[in-house]
Amino acid sequence: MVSYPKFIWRMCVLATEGNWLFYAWMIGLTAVALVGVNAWAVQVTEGMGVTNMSDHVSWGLYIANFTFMVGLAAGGVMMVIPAYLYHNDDMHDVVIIGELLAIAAIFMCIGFVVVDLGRPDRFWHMIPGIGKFHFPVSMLTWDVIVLNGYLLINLHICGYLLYNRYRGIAPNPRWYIPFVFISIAWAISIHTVTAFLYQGLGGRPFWNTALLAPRFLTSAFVSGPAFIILALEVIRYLSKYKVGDGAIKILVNIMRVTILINLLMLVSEVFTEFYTGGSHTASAKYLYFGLHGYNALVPWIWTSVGLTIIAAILLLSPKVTQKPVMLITACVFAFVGIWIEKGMGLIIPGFIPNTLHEIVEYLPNSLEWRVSAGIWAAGLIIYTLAIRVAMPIFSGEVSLEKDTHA
Amino acid sequence: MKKPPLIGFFAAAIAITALAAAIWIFQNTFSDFDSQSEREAAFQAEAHYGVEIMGAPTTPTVLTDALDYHGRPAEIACATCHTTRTPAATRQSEDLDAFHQGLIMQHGDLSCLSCHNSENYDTLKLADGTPVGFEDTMLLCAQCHGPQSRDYRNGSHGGMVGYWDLSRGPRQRNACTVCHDVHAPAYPQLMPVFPPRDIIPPKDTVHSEH
Amino acid sequence: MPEDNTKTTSGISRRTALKGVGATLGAAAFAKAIAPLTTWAKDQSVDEFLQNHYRELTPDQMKEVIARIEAETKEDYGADVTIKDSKAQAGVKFAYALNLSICVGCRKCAKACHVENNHDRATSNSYIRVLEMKKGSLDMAHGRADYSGPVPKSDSFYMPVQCQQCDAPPCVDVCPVEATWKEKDGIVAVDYNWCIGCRYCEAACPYHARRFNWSKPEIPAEEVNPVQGYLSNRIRPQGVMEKCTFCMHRTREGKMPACLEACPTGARVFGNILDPESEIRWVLENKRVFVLKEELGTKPSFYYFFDE
Repeated sequence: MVSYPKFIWRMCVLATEGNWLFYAWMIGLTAVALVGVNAWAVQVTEGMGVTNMSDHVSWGLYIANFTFMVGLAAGGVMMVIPAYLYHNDDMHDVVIIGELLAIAAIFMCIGFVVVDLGRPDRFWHMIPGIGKFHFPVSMLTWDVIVLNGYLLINLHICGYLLYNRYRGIAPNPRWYIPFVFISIAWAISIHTVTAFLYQGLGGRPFWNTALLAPRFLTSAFVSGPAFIILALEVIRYLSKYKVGDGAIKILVNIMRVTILINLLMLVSEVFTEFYTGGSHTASAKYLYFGLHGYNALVPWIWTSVGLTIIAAILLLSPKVTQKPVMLITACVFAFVGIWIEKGMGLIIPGFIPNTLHEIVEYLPNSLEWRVSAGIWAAGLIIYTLAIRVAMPIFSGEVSLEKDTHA
Repeated sequence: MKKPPLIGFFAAAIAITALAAAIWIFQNTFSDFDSQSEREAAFQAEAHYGVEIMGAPTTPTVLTDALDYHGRPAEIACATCHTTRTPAATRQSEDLDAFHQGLIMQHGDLSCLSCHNSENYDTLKLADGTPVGFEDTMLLCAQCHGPQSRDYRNGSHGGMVGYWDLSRGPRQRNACTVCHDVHAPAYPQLMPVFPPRDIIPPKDTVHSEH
Repeated sequence: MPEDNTKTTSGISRRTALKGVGATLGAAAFAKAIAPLTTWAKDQSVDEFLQNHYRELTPDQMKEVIARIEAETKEDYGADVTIKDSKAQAGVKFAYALNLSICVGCRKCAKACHVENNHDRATSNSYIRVLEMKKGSLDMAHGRADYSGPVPKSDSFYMPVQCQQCDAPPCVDVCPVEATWKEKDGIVAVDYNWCIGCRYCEAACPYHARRFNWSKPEIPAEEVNPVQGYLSNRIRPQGVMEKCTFCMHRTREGKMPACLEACPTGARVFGNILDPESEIRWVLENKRVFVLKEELGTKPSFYYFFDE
């Protein structure tokens, strides 16, 4: 335990070192994050009226991003199953990348929720005991519990493994294996609970479908592996650490299945809406074809469908793991396609038409884009720093032994 | 004596906890209901305030263009002319040559004498000929418009101002004639208050107006 | 890998010095970025920050809170107001009925609500939204709220919609901090000093009844309604939810709600559903009433009926 402070200090120093590309990346991200912080400060001071949200569309880009990021956090754990359940050695060394993604994603989720609150200063009202925590009736309270729990589990696992690797000690399975298995089940729960937030609202027929939670899970298991593959490619090409093909092959295999299931569920939703008809399907009509001349979201959703289909076709090709350009394209397309589908393509149409069947459209304004970009930048900062610290330790390049003899 | 097994102890603890939880849940679920006696006490209201009917018509007069000593137009009672002259046998007010030309009559198939009493023009008459004063105009309305009158008496027509709880304050209501002109009773069209001014997104997004 | 390039005389490497400068610049940039919050923070008071939930305030604490809010209203809006904290009466459960045969769509109820409840003038917010519906259909998809021109139009009927004070309110279920709850007399109330502004209740409400304060309400001092209630029409702070309270500050004193008094035709009927002699009971027993979106199971306390 004497070496723990030394470990933390070493992490801090290591996190601020790198080549010119690293510094450029981090400074750029910091600049974007500061722009976002400023935009948020303006929002808190002047009120949320500076966004484009209204009493008709009262959740917008922030909650759209939040929903997507919960999926990303859940998907980050997708590598854990083959690594630990099936003792796949290829995965074992890179599984930390997925768990670190989960940590960064949860921080972003918290960020998006905080910027969406009208009174972030009253955050303490949610703390059980001091405030009033409306558990178990309010699904938001379940979400608070599962998201924070997931963060703590992953912080523990990653911290424990990194600390022991740094010290050169084999980690004691008793202190992390149970948590890993918990995190697998917990990852399913975070996204199911988030889906339940929307699913349970009878007044919003676009969301009030049993298929929402399964759709959330499959899209999470597309976006998560896509991002991890992109991260692995970045590590492979922009740093000196070797990343084997095995992990990427497994992730591609996962995506091949989940992207098709995702498309199938989309078809199922679309069929139910358009075959039945009636005024409960007005939101779907608005999203896909426009309603009464209002069609702001139509290009978005068709772009998403197109990107997802192209990504599916690319992924299904046997050559995708040998051609990096094809792989990266497929992953970027899948990621963006899911972002649109789950974010703008799910949250906004739930509010259009509103509960009185009126149409008031919404597209985010520049302040909302700035705040969101700021949180994305902050999340990427956290993730970059985490990888910057984890890779040297896991490859043995940085260790306590080397530091004490340096 | 053999010691009772540990599992029996745990089963008993769980059962007691479940019972306590059930009692707590029951009490919290039903604690919001008032007791029957509380409710009954609320209805033993003491003083009842009244319901005042505003704007009930009074015996009308006709304004002439002659001015009296104070500069006000001279008012004459209906009977002044209607005992000395023979009324024209017409329902069209435009055919009249003295007084009532501006009167618009749009009340179904009613004639003037459906309501006005030809024996005493300072009163009205019910369907069976009984004379009633102008203060009882609402009786005449009720003769034909029974459902509306019933609704009015029971509070679902005609509005009110004041207290819903008459044990705490009075209430004012309108007479039928305040909203319904007796000769052309159809409720007029009116211009509504401006539509809701929803938060309009700024110019770089789609507008919300039709 | 850390390399010591040209050492300076004090023994700090150039890299470390650069990192220090970068960190300082970053901190300065952060302070500049977050600067707008300092003006916002000046408006907040520690007492309000630490205030407990309405249902846990002792009567003395409530008096202090009210005194503070009255002083703040005077400072912010220049208006002298009195805020009451009226409690639900025993044996009373409010219900409201609306006569769709008589409503002419004049929107005077919406205007009266706007004035009575101290709504922001710029947005002309109101808790009541009047829909012009097509005769022969109860589908709100064929209705519109932005109608204009003389009313009533011969092919339409008019349906004002406001908070239904449901008996199974979805908004109460979803609030994560219990800032909204159903009172004993049926009114669903909001503690404006507890709400965190997450707007989950606004997403959950099937009747578009909840409103959010997207900015600080602006009302000229002479237009402020000085008779206020803590849970109802006091001027709400920025960033919290609000909704129709059946004019709680009036109805708990036995008075009619402002919308009813403004209605020129008398289409609105209000009263205590537990009183067998009340007008609302008569309507419910003698008219064919219906509720909106009954299939959602919200059990509204707001009923609609036609005369014929």
